[in-house]
Amino acid sequence: MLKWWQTIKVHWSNMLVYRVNFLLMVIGPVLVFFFVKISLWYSIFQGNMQTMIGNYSLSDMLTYHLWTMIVMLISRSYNFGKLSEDIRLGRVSTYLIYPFSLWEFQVTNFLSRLVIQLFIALFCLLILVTTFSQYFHDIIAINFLKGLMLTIFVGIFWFSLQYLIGLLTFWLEETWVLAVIAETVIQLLSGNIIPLDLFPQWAARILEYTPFPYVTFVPVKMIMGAGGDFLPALANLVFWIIILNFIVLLVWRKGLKLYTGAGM
Amino acid sequence: MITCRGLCKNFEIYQKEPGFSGTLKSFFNRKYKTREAVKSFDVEIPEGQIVGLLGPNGAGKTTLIKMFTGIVVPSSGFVQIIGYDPAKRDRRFRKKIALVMGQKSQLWWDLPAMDSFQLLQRYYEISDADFKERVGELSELLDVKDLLQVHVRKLSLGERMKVELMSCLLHKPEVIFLDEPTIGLDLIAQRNIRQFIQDYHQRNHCTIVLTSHYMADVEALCSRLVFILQGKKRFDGDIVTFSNLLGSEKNVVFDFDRSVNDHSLLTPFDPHWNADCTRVELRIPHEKLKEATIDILRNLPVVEFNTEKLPIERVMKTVMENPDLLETNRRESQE
Repeated sequence: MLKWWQTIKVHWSNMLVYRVNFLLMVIGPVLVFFFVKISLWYSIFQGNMQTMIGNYSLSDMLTYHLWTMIVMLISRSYNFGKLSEDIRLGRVSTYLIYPFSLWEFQVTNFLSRLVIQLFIALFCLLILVTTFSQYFHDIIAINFLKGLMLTIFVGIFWFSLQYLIGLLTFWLEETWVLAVIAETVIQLLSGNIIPLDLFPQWAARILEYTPFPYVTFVPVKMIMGAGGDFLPALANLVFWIIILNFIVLLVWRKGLKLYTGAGM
Repeated sequence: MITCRGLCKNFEIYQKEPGFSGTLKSFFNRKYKTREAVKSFDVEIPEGQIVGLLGPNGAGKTTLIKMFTGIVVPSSGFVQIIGYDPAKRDRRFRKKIALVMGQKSQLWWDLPAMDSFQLLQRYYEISDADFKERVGELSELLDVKDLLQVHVRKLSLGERMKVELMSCLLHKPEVIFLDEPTIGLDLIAQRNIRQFIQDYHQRNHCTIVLTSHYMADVEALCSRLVFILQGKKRFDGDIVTFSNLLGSEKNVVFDFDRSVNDHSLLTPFDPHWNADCTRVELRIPHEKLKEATIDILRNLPVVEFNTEKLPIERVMKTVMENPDLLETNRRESQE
């Protein structure tokens, strides 16, 4: 465990060197995406607080998207680009020699970021709660904790997915297009733009067999007190995380045979 | 300690014709070519030896090191390092080897070297007492005590190389792979690194495999040379045998008091002139040395001359230009 803890500390020290970059990377895209979504829904509702779309008033929609922002702040992962570059430029060679694997190194990187992202998200939440208290009045602590727990697993899901996409560099050299496609599809199908209960019923039913609802919609609804049972949701997320990591293992074993350790 | 037999590594290389039309063609019909980086390579390195892997760029030296360290998986053949198959990347194996890459930093660029060392202490499970002792000993030997708290990116290339070396030796590896450890360093820094490796080897009796383009590294450190050309081993022996590959020739340097235009007298001795033709370096067979020197002294405006054994650089250059010499030499020695 000592080696994991020491690596996490080094990751933190390294983040502090580029603290402004890191903050911008974590907060920037999420905040921009939030304002885009809010503008979109404000136009759809034509600014009218009485209009209802499905079960949502404009106020409900704002609350929903404030929580999606918090979920994103905690769970978004940013490692695929770095991993992809490291494989392409042969920098992962170091972790093939050290008695500490690339996977362990990436996991410690994820954990170090998750802790910081949690703090950032909680800080943002504190500001939001004090500024827009009307949107947060009916939040119950236990629901919040359940949602938070799910969100941490969503973070593990995103990390596993991005790690997998990064590993595809063994074959594709450039994987950012794949990452953008995956992110866009997941954001749409996870309810990050349109809540899934506004989707047609047949579509929502199909999505139940995918991991997507558990990435945004379920944790947000859990926090808002309408997310259904906690344990089945958690079990679903864990199931998809196991599947992803199984694929990661296969891809790693196959991909390593193609690795050339370029640049050395 | 290190054994490999019939070791091969092939790379698939994607080929593209130049220009936009080439890009379009390759989009629809991508062509790959198999490049044999290492061909049926055999070597046996006993414990405690320092072996120099030599050869021109692209000869396969670094690919060999990558296979020895487990970075790259061999296409075929057998390789065993201290009893382990490197491709399996066993943690016990990884704790016993070290790789120093002259062209690539393994330290955290934005942190002081000491932070990286502390991380390595955990990775290699070095006790606090051992770690303290090793850091003290190595930093004194390398004269880097004051650099350990400085951010790696702020170190000069020579200083960085020293701390890189230090980071790779903290866990007392049994086998050390040094891939061009003195590349890009000035002469003094090169000498310091060389001296350190020599001292370290004497103290620890570890096995070292070194690749370098600087013959001074090889002459100072290696008792044995393995020469690779186009992925194949072409020479394996001691440095004296390698130096005598071109026969018992002497290197003679003549300085003239003016430019020499008539080169006919010197042509048989592979002359290397300076730009203004006032200095020439010749390779003269031992038996002709006296006669040829008298001839040159009589006929050309010589102001100074000196004789020395043929430098290994010159042997290397000649062998690279004419690899058949190695084959001829091998046949002669077999006869």
